[in-house]
Amino acid sequence: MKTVLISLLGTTLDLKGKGNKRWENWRPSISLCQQEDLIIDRFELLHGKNFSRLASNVKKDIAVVSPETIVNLVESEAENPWDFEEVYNQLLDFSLNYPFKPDEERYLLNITTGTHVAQICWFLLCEARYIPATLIQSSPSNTPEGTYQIIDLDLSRYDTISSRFKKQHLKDTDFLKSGIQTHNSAFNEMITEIEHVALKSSAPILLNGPTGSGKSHLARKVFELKKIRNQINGEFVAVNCATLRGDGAMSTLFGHQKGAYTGALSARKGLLSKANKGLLFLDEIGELGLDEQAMLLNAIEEKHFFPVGSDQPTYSDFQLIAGTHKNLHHAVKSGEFREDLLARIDLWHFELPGLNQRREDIEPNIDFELREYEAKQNHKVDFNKRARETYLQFATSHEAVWSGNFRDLNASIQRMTTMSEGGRINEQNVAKEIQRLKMRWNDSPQPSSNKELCDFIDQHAIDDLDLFDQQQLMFVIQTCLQSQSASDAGRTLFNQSRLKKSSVNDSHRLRQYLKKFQLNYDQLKGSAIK
Amino acid sequence: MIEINGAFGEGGGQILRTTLTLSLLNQVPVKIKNIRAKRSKPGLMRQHLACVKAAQTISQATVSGAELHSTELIFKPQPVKGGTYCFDIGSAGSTTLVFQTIMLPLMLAQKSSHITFKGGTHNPLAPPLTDIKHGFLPLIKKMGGKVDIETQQWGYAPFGGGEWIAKIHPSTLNPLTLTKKGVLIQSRIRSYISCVKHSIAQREIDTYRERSKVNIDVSESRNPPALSAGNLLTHRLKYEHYETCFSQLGQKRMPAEKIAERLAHDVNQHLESGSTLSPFLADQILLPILVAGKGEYTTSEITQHTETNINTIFEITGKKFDYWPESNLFKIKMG
Repeated sequence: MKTVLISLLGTTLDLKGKGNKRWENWRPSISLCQQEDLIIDRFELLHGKNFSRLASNVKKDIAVVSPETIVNLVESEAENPWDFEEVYNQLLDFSLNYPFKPDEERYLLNITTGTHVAQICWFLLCEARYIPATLIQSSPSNTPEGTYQIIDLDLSRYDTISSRFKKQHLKDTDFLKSGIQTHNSAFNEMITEIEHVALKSSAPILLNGPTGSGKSHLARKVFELKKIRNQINGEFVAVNCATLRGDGAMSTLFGHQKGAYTGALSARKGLLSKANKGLLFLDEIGELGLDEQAMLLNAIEEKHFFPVGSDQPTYSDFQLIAGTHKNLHHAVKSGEFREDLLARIDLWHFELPGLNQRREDIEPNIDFELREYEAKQNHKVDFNKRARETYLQFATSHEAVWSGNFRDLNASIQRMTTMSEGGRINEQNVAKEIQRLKMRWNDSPQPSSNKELCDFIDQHAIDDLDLFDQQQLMFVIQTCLQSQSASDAGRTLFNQSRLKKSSVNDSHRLRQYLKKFQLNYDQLKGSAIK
Repeated sequence: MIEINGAFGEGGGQILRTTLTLSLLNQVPVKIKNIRAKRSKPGLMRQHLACVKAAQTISQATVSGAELHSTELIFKPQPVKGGTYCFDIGSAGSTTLVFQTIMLPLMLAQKSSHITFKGGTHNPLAPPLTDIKHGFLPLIKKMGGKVDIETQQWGYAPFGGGEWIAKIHPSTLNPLTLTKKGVLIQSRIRSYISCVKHSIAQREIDTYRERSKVNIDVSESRNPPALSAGNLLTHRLKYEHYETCFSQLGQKRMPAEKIAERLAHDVNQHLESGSTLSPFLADQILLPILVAGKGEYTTSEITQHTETNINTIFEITGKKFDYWPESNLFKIKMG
């Protein structure tokens, strides 16, 4: 295999005059050709136009010390050798045009010569594999021929470096999991992905998951991780959009000017401004009104928005993490959520599984809750052995539905620690707690999507209906439950036929349909609230 | 195939060169293992490859393992052909080592050879070309060898850039017996300087004259053309029965006086022992005597180089050199 050296002419280091004295000085280009254990078969010497003479002198001297080396003088030049962009382009052009044959030739890239900018560019091109070479560095020593070092950039070959990377990486994912040693591989994979995304991008992240699955906890952890890594220096601002209803919503989020409306006695900053250079967590983003959604989209895209009553835009640059338990794509179809906003925040979409989908993680989470309790209360509480076994058996069984997810687990542990005596949770504490949990879960209303037709109409009436009609009616009821108003539901349901009508009254059509089953819209909505 | 362990004894490049020469002389294929095993950079370096390639060129040998860092070489020669050759080895070691590897085989070839060498001529780790000319070749000529050299330009380490020509004619070597020096006819010291101040030559000569235990008839300086700066101090001694040469290479940052002192030390030791050949020549003359079939001489010291060479010769040819101490010196004898 032939060895090919690629190097910039050293306009200072290789320039030692034409007299015999030049041989007494270390010259990197010459030096690399007279190493006793290195044969350069070909030398690609890059030089600027003004240095042609020096280049050909160097070529002649190489012929003396290493007659077997073929020297190719390549004219290539950056006007300003300290301009990063120019130099990078120059060297990139060279590498793109060079007929590399890595199977037949071994390439060495000399980083001894050229400006520091050139060295960095060589390094980058080499690391990005534009140049399939190993780096070589020549250095002076006692003798004029100097010495050389070959630097292999393949980091995976450096055990200590790669293990340090691994450690750091582990620390970061560990951090996001608050040190909980989770076993669920899907969850662990997702955390690794989130860690990657969080550290490499500041694009919005959407966390989808049932309530209590840890969305806001995770959002805060992402913020803290970015803060440790100095990627963010503002504040963590969190708000649940379900609490932002009516007139106050706009002003809470975007702020208002003094006198913007009745009662606006002083100016208000708004949460988006507060989150400038920080992280904004909007939980239950699906509950945000359409006007607020429009403004938010603008704020994400343009990094500015208008506070209520102001003509002057306010600037805020924040990272957005949005949380929701809803399927926002359905919400888009039903007109509740802006498609463009969803597209913007859906770039990184993560599904947080509920606790009952991660039963193997229940035990580490129990230990986490116990540690948290210990940190807060300053004394240690733990289960006795039998109590732990019993609780775990129940907690990981299908009897335990964990409908409130981590919120349920947290509450359950809190209750047991409070009831415990002498720092031990015993079998009695556990038995009572299991009872409590079972009662809770039996009482709690099932999610609306799990509702059945019999919840709305008489069983006899159902028996008279075709399966076809049963299914249709159930779909209509569900649409009503998910819609803001009757006309809203009508728009979703009659989405095609309404386009052909000259005048539309979708809510009327809906009411007519429901009436056939002795149902009305407001009643339906009322039953859902209950 | 004869197998040679390159790690034996001195364990350096000389085993390789002696093995190559013997392979060419006896026309036997050889395999050398553990090449330069005792060195910090084991295996073949560029200067060794230069010798392998020269040996291959004059004999059309089949070679495997002739690569940098290779620790095993197989060399299968064909009959050596005299002719015109050019060996340009750049800064890879010394051309004198290449010359010593191929001189005897070419002398036994049917045709005369005209060889141009380009590269180093004066390296600290090889016999300087000046020593070859005034120490080694006079012995060869005394034995009947027809060889002459012509120096065009000197090439100091580490750059080389020297150029010289060797003319080798088919010859028969006769046994050499050199146990007595005879009367000293002429003693001359010479300081060669290239691209360095003339005062250096003068200081060397002055110091040497003070230190020398033998009368000096002529002291002079010369300015041979060279690629780079360099200096060599020599002392040539012409005796009734033969002539010989001692030398010391100048080194960067070493005072001229020190160079002279070192040379004086070597020459005085040689004179005190009463031996005929310097330890270097005692080693270099082994192969010519092997070719001649018989010889006897004295030296002040048996170096590890010499011991290793004697062993290599025995391993490949079965011919044995004996050596034993006699008063202040050692006697070496074959046949």
